[in-house]
Amino acid sequence: MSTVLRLLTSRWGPIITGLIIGVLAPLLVKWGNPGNMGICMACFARDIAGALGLHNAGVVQYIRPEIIGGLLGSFVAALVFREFRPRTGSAPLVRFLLGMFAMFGALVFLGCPWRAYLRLSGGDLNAVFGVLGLIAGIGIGIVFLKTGYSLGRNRPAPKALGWIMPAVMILLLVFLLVEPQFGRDAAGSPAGPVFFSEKGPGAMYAPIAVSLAVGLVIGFLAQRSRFCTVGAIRDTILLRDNHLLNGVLALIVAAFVTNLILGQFNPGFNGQPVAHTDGLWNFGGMVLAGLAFTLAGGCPGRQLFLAGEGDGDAAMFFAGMLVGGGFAHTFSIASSPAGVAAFGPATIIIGLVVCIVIGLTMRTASE
Amino acid sequence: MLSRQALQKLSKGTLQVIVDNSTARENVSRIANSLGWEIDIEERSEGEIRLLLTK
Repeated sequence: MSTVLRLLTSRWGPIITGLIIGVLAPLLVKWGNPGNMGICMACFARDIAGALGLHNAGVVQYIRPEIIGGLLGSFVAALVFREFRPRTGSAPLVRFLLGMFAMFGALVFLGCPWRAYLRLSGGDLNAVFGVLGLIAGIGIGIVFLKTGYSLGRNRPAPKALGWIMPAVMILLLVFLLVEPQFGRDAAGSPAGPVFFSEKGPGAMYAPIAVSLAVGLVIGFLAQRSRFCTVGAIRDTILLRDNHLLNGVLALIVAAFVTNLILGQFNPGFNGQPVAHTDGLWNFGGMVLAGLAFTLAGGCPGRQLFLAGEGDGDAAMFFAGMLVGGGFAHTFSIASSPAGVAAFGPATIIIGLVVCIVIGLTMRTASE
Repeated sequence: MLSRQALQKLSKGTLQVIVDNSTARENVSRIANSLGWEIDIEERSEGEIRLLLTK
């Protein structure tokens, strides 16, 4: 056991983590999650936003236990291995904005980087444009990293700060299990405060205990191995260091094989689950997401696990994702299987401008 | 990032890098290793790790 734990912090760590995610994610689909959506940080944050009434897209409202488990798994790993270090103060407001725009980009594509790779391994060829966009976005971010972009260093914070996100996750779990309802409005629709889809992707989910357990395992492994689906590409280009990339490749291969075995591999462009075929905006959405993730220092999964370790700035990024998930639907930004939404493309352009301004202006202030 | 630039400028010598978390320790060690530097790690007070890189 201790050997396995030590392996996790070696070069093998991301590979082991990627393999396990690659097997578990398609299994979650088999057990009830939407197609090619075993794990998707953006989709799941959006579902949670909907469940909390931040948007009223009735088909995507559910409190996803994978997110709760992911953060708590990382929290436990950090506590056990003495890496629980509450900290904050590295431009939290900018991180909130980056989280929001990363979310807009991801929801125009219909998936975070995790799901981009999972869609690819399920045969969804639209994801090729998404992954290319992701690489392009990360490439733009690297230009800023090389020219002195930095959100500045964080500072140690009181222990209590690090307990806020785990407490929020426990509260979400209570909401999920109790399903509090304030009755029905005049039209007979549920009045909230928590909403759950009755049809659509939000009504497709694996059993709560299974989803939670998978989340816990992934959170634990990813905290130890620093698995990151954006850092993978960033480090390969910037540092010629492919140890994180190996993790992503392991994920894609494992998910591909698992999908084949489960009969979930359906190659093609049309009729893919929770996807659209607009190549330009599949690409564009992920350029924005990739840039925003790079400027924030990691993929949405990594942000979630950092928040579990006590990183208050990563928690702000996640809060931005939740709020962005709400706006993405109320402002008609998020795509649907029918195609891009009315304000999706315009939002991508605005988001790119905002991110470029952030990239150009955020420099470490001299002390 | 900054450490790598510093390491690439120096062809040999000694470089002291102070990091504040174990992720950064692993990152700097990995980069230094791949560039052929010897690494000496010293855990100082809580939240501060000193890496002595020599070549």
